[in-house]
Amino acid sequence: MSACRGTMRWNSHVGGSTSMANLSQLMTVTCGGNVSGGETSRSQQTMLTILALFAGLALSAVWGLAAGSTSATLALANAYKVPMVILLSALTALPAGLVALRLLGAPLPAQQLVGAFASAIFGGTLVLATLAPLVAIYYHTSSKAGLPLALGSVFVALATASLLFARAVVRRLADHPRRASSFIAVAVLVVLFLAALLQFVGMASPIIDAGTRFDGGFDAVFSR
Amino acid sequence: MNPTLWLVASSLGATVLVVLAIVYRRAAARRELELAEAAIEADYAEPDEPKR
Repeated sequence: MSACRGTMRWNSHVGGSTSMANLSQLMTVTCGGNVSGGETSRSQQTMLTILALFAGLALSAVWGLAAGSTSATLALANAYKVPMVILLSALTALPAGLVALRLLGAPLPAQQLVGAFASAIFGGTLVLATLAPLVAIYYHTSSKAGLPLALGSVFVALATASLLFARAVVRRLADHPRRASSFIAVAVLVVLFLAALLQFVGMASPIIDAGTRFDGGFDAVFSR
Repeated sequence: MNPTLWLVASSLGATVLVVLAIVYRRAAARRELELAEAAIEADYAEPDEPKR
């Protein structure tokens, strides 16, 4: 009787940890809520972090398809290039953020910084994917608004991701006396992510068919 | 820009994705064990229903 009840409860627990349940938890965490069941274990945190990254990359591929929809080749190439640009930028920035966290003696654990960063990437790419249909429509129907809208959606997504990242760190360090050092690490991570993103976009260009100043990387953006 | 650099960087990115997928699977397996242990512990903590 007891063993049977235990098995049933175990099954219901395992059944609850399906991908959909994890995605639901990821949305809750990204929106500033807490994971159901109270305290999160290390394995659960690892799963949520990786899931956030994978889901974010999938969502960014949707935007890539929309931005490159002028030709099938570019759209398919973008479905690979855009997620890869985001992943590589994150990988480039992450070590510096972690080193800054350690050197500053910040109270935020490294795994929580990575988790907050991954959920911020998920939030930003969610905005990108949400705006993707609008980008595709305007890109095909308006010569004036198409390109600005495509670039604008990227800036909106970056701003959203940065705000979500800051909010996630604030939540994790609520009322901690030495939380300023953690915010410096967050700032380092965001700045380096943007710097790496600029160059990776240049490397992966063309992402948008019309061509932008960002296709040439740092040199083209900051040339007079 | 340099296409070779992009090729190297993107293959590195693909490798990282594979590694992350493996880490995810291992974390998922560990999580299932944790849940099973928690369920068993909770079951032992509760007394059995009285027999009629």
